[in-house]
Amino acid sequence: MAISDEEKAQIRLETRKLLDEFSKALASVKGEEASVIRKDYSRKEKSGKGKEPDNDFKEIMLANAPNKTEDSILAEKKSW
Amino acid sequence: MVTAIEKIKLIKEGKLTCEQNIKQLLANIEKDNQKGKKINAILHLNPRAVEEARVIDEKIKKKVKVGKLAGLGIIVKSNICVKNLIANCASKTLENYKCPYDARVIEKIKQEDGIILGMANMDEFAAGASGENSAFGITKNPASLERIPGGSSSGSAASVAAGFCDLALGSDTGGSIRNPASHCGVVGFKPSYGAVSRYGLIDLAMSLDQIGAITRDVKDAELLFEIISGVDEKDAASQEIKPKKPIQKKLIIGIPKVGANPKILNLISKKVEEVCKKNKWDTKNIEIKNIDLGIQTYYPINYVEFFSGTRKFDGRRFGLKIEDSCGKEVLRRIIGGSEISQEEFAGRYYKKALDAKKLLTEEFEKAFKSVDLIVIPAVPRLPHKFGEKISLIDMYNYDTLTVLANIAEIAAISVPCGKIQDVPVGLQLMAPRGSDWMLLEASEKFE
Repeated sequence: MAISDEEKAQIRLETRKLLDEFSKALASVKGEEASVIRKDYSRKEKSGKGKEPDNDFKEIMLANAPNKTEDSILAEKKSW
Repeated sequence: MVTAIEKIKLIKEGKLTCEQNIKQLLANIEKDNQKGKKINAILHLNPRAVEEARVIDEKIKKKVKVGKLAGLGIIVKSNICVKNLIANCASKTLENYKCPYDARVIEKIKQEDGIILGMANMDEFAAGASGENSAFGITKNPASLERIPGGSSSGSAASVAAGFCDLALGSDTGGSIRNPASHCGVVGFKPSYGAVSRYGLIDLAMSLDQIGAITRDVKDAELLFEIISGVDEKDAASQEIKPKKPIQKKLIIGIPKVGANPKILNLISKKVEEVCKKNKWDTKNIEIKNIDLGIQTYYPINYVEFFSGTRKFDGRRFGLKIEDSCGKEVLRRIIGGSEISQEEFAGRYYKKALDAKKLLTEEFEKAFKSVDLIVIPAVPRLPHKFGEKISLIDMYNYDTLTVLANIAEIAAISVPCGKIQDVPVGLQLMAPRGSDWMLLEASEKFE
């Protein structure tokens, strides 16, 4: 059964309250400024053709798609 | 019930064929999954399981070398991709989603001639700890039919307990292997973060998820872990762990003070005393600062990462749009994650939780400088009965003692420790990150 708009609103309120409580409990936790520390790294690109997917990979992917043509998935812009 | 290792011996000695084994497991499922006890642990069976068993029997007959899992039947949680089987995460969103590829762990199992029997029921998208949140019905606890089996790997744990399989795979983000293992009276092992590839796991929270083993005993967990572990280039968080080496020292078991049902604490305490006396190990009372902030640290991270991970479920390439087809707990986490990751709340929720995660990780590292292992209960209370009213915070509090290992990225295991009111209770051991093999060997002593 789909969740009603009223239930969604209730969930939103409850969740916000709960997260505020969690945030309060963590108030004393001190942290550093957000930053990303990366070691020097360069990705080694492999040469060659790479692994081919199984023959039926495309078939299964298309079977999962709600809207499709013979060899592509259709997704209307902004339809979702 | 026969363990997986005992069965391997029977198959090797020719006392049991793979086909006989698989047929027996399927008969057990037929008897009690949807009928009989109606455990509802399994959502989807592999229609080729018997055929695959026959292929292995042929190899054995022709004296062709077979793998380490030859003929064993394995149940897989429905959020791990098995090619041509349905990985629906127990949700209407992915109800008929057929996997186009095998997860890395599944490739490894198949390479060792393990047979995937089917896909296990679970809490929807792994968001839960009771086994009550599946879109395809509750899973019952074979060890105590009127009580929850725990979750979110409810079907995997129940399958092992009910004799539906030899081994099972689960996933653990905040306790989802250890919690149901404790309630169902089986072993549940969550490896160190990065020890097992997550390639092919439909994620709940990517910085916390690990695939792990649910088994009848610790030796079976070691067998399965040996197969599924290892670095994988397709999992960016994948990393080496310490190699397997026998324990050659007198262990020190750390006991922190935690909140739990006094009967559970007493049972755990007696077991620790008994094992340490027998093995001449020492115990030490330790303090882990902020150990009571596990839930408050875990859930904001879980919500935000889950919200991010579910953006792909928009109903275009597969399935339905998740917000239109999921249950309440999944929706709660999406709504919560969406809210607190907005720019206006920067630094208040998610970043705060990440800071607390770092702090807790450091506290555990500090603790492990003076002890080898830490022991606490797996779950602070007995599993509630179906139909019992339970508040959201009480439900989340089931995770109080299991989230710690996920936050600190360390290995942890739940081992059956006895019963209270005829309900199984699990003892949880935790080890430093990368010390998975040491943890497993030590855990054998607690069985």
